[in-house]
Amino acid sequence: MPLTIESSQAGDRAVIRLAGTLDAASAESVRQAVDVALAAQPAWLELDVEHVDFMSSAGLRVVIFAKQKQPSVKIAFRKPQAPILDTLKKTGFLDAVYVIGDDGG
Amino acid sequence: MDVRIDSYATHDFAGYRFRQGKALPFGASVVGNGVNFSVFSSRATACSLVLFENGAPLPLVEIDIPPEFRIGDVYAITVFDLPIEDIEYGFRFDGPSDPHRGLRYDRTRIVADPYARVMSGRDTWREEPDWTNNYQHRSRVSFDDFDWEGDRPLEHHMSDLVMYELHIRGFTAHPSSGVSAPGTFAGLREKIPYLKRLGVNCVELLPVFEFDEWENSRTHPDTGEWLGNYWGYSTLGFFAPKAGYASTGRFGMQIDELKTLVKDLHANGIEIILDVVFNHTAEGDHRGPTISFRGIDNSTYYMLTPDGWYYNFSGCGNTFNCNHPVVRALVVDCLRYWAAEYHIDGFRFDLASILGRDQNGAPLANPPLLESLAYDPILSKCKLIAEAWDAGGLYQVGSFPAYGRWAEWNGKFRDSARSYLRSKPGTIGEIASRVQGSPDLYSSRGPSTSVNFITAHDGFTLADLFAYNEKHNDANGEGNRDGSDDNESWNCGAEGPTDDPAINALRLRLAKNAMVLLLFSQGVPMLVMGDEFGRTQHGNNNVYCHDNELAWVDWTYAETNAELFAFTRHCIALRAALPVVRSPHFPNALGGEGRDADITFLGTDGGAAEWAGWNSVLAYRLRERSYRDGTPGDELMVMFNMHWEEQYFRLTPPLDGSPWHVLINTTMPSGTDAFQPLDAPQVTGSSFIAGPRSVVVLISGSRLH
Amino acid sequence: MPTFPGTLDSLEAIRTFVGDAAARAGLDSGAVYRLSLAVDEVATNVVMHGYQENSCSGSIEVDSAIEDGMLIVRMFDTSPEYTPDDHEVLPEDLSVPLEDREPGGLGLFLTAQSVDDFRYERLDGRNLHDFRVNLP
Repeated sequence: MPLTIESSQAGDRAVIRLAGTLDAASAESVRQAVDVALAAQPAWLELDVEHVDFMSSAGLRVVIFAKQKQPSVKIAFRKPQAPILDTLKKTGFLDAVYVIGDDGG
Repeated sequence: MDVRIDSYATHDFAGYRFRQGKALPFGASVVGNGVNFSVFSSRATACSLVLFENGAPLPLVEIDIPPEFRIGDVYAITVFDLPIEDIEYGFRFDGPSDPHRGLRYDRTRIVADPYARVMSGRDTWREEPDWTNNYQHRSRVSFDDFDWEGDRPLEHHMSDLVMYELHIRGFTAHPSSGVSAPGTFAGLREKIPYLKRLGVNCVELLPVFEFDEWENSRTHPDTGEWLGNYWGYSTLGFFAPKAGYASTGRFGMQIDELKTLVKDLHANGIEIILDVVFNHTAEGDHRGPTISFRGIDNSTYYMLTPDGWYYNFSGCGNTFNCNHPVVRALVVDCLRYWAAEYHIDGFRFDLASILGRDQNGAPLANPPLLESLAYDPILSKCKLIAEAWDAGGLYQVGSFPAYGRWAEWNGKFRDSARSYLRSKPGTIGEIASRVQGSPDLYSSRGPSTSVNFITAHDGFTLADLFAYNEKHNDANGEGNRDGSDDNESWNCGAEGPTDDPAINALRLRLAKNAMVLLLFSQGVPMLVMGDEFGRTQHGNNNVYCHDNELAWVDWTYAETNAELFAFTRHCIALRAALPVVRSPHFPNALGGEGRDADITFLGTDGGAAEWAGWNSVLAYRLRERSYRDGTPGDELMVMFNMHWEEQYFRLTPPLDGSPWHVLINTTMPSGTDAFQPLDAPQVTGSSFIAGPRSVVVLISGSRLH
Repeated sequence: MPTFPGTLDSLEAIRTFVGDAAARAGLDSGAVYRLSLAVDEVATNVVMHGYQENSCSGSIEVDSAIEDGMLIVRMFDTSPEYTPDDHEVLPEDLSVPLEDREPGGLGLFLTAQSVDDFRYERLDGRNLHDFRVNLP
């Protein structure tokens, strides 16, 4: 399933909502969206991945890109599906990104 | 005024007064009110001096040198009251014509003086010659009158040099160069501010001895382009600077113009090294023209087979007989002349392995010429650099007879660097030696023996190394058969120019990686003109015959590729600021002193390095030897990641306990890809991510407070 | 043995093929995902670093079989020979935060962690990647 990307900004929080598969074919578009979102130097970058059913290392690299472009930004994954949460755990990314549910915490 | 006996004429012919001359020095020299001419020939039976008015088709006079003027094999004559600036001269030799015994005397030819310090006939670059002129390349008399204003050779330490190879014409011929004297010595002078900005402190000039750009000239059958001898590896006169490289060449003032260039370069801290070609001359083989040596003493000056044919170890038709004592003396005289009269700082010897062959072509264990040069009193502070191979199968990188003085173009650095930079498996072991200055090759001599280079005038430019898988030399008109096929290049996914931003970004990053590898290795780095801003030859790896945009430096690239230029400048400045990367001794050597370095290779986990062939990650710590005494000095952490995936390096702190700071990170965009020590950002955390195919250099904080 | 064009657009189809084979072999949804992930990572490398960066093109053939209680997926391609970096990452290092990460490349690490056995071989002028998962 291809990937849809919606970006928005609320105060010091940039939100990128993704739906579909995040693999090497679709990662570049996400990276560009992150690049744009970070231009405003938000305090938070939220990746809403509730409807992302697959994420390879290409997705993790987007996170690395964000952290290198703006080391101070806090990155949050909203409602990752179980396999994606598992990937974040396996690679140690869980200790670098926040995972949030409906309550925002 | 004292009047000397030898200022009186004893003979008279056609209005010209002369006497027996002095055997020394060879060539033409001004003595009081006359000019002394002296020339050697062992097999001639007669010799006459031929004088011309400048440019005239027919001689003014031809004076037979009386047999009694001959001393040994040297003909010497002093002629009085000559208008030095208005005459040209040559010799006509009579002798046996017996090619199979190596004798090729020809009475119909006028030949140039091997020791001529000025030559005429090609005064303006590519001005069409008069092809009916029987004596094209003429000798002239020079005045040695130049105000050096206290200039002398700089005597920089070899290990402190950053060398920049350039072609006099190609460097400024393009209109974009903005100089008022394009393609000349004066033009190069106008670019000295640029060289200082870049930070190089040594220029190596492609041949500046007189050569004929019209040699083997032709037009391309399809494009109509003029093709000729652009590079100049074909000497006519070993003592004469090329008139066509001087904006004042048409006035015969090339000597002064070149000396002015040397003086100005020295005043700006830049040494000059000349590329010298003693392996062959412009006379070619038996089918070539008789310009000088062949008609003077063929069997002395050339290596000949027992049947009188020409050995061709140079690939250019003939081979100069360098270990014959007479020829050896000429080579030594030549270099002494350039060192003493032009204040040249050093010489790079093209196809130098030929200099180590005896008169029958066999390699010598103890070549007299190389030994003479190594111990010569006048050349004692000159850099001597050998291109340690020839076209006849000798490859002596690491084994060139050195006498403790010669440095070498390290072809293995080039090959190893190119393989490693394009992530070829199995290259990690060798590159680890190369970054240390190649102790495997030069163990008894030191890293300054190794001139490290990734590109040279021969082969791809740095930009093209990452843009082409194959050579594209069709513009040479030779069906793309010329030039090397073994380029160790990689086009990153597309052959030639592309709009793909990912490919272009990768190419730029690989070029930056190459600059770091070159400028942070022990040894002496050499760049090629324009590599600092991505000069391209559009995939042509052998532009020897092109006198146009293909081979010239296009200075607009300095704008479009400003990022690479800025990065290169940073690297050169860092090399100057960090003695630890340019030590005169190999790392980890026993004993040693202040400027020496210790090196430890690491794996990505901070433990032992992984040397297996599949590994493409090279990491090491380099620290100043002073640590052994407890005095903190610079410590660097260098990480080369040629893998396509990012690598996480675990960092252990520097020995002095200070935090690491980032000097170089080629993954980052311009402005954050390189820093000088005082601006270097601090590293947080105990690991560092090196991006795919990138290089990171960190420095300890000891000197940054 | 289905053949796919060696482009990024094929990743989806390759994952689907492998996912179907895994489901038919009786693997649970987690194991199906992990196998698809491993294959996706390597297929990505083949496309980008095997074909694209060497300006050649070719296809990727994928095959699955059940042998000795294991599901075996084999992937063949004709890109130039390459050697995957098989750094092992020790399990106890994974608790370390991103900024203090242990060494190792991401994609191949994930591959190795997602299947029970993973090998590379150069066979008859082709690259062969071999993925094995124990069946329940």
